[in-house]
Amino acid sequence: MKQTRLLMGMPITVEICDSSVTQEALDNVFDYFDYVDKKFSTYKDDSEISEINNGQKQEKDYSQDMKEVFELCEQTKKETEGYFDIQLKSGKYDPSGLVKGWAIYNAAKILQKLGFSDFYVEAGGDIQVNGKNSQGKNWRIGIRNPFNEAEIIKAVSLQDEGIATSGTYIRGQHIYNPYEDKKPITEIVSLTVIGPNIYEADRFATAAFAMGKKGINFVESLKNLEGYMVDKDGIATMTSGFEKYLV
Amino acid sequence: MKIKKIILSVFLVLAVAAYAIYQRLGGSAKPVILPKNPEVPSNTPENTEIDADDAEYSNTSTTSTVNNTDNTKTNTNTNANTKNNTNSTNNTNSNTATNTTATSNTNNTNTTNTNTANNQNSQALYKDGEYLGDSIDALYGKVQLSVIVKGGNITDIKFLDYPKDDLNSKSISNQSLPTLKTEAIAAQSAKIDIVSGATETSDAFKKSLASALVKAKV
Repeated sequence: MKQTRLLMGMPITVEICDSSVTQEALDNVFDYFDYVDKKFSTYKDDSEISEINNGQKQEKDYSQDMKEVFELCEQTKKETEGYFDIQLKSGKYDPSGLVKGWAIYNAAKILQKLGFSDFYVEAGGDIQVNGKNSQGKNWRIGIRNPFNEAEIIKAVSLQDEGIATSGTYIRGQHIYNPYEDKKPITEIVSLTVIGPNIYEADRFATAAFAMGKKGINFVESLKNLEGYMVDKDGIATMTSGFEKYLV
Repeated sequence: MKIKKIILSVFLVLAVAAYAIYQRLGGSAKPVILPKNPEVPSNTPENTEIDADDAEYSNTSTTSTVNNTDNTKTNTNTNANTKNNTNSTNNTNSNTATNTTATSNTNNTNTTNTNTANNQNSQALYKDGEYLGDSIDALYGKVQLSVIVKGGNITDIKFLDYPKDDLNSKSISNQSLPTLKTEAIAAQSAKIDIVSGATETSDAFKKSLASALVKAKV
């Protein structure tokens, strides 16, 4: 059973291949994304993150999830030489670079707890796959051509892994380099990271993209993560272990 | 040393290809800018007034570009459409006065100066038609392209033959960094379940285009 809904300003798709699948299970996942959106959306005035940014909420009053996300962001900042930074120049916080992967991973854990083993959760091009696809094979994921969204430029085979692609977004400069403020990232157009889960893949894809061309070397230096970077001239650079995933 | 040799060879091939097209076009004042060629001739008379952050122009061109993609390699199109874009913005009648005026609107003094200089030899136009370039061996495969000229302007550059995905693996090297494999991207036809990509790729394209234009500027 496969369904797509528009939540958090992007299409979210869940497919469950287990025969025991129910509509309720899918609803559980979509409800969770809705919850995350209400809490972490910087576009919603009444979200918890907006309350924090507007000075209406003190750190001691943060919800458990908010505390967790802030801790994970702080940890990620340290692990990425400061390139992952949720604090904007204005002093406000925007944890959306981490929340998406974190939420997808949590959604997958919800499905696992419900007893499902063969499924994927995809939100805005970032994916967590578990088990096998409807044909009983590994999940096959295509990496979209950053220059032509109708094309894929690589196909990888995954099982119990996460894959995330960072790029530049039309809704403002979603990804920016904290060390060179206001400077748009134009050297590279797309960076895909495969990791043990979508949380790891997504946060490092975001940070590595902000590093520009050297981002792929950063991914290379990370254990259990592989990457595929496309620069503005259509030249791809891959990490040494990336090829093992190729279909 | 081997890597240096490869890089040197690739550059040489690109240079030869550029020269070949240049000749085919009758050696006019405007050399063709090859995609992926980092060594854009410094005297390139690209009177483009489009800035990287100029979303409006980029937007327009992006729309038309995506529709034009066809079988041509996308990264090739970046430059091809760059031309398109330049031409349309600059006004097709290559009127120097018009161009200069248009440029000054961008509030970029440097650009204005450059363009004024360039406009002096911009009266040379190409002959309409499709011009086939030689097939060049690029070590990792053959490269052949054709240039399409309409209304005296380059409207497209088509890659008729280009190194296929799995044959052209090269390495970039940096003594302190690990050596990573690189390749030119190419469309795949594999059957897949899901697609991973940045949510909205058109902006990436726009940025790519804009950055290519920046490079094309003298």
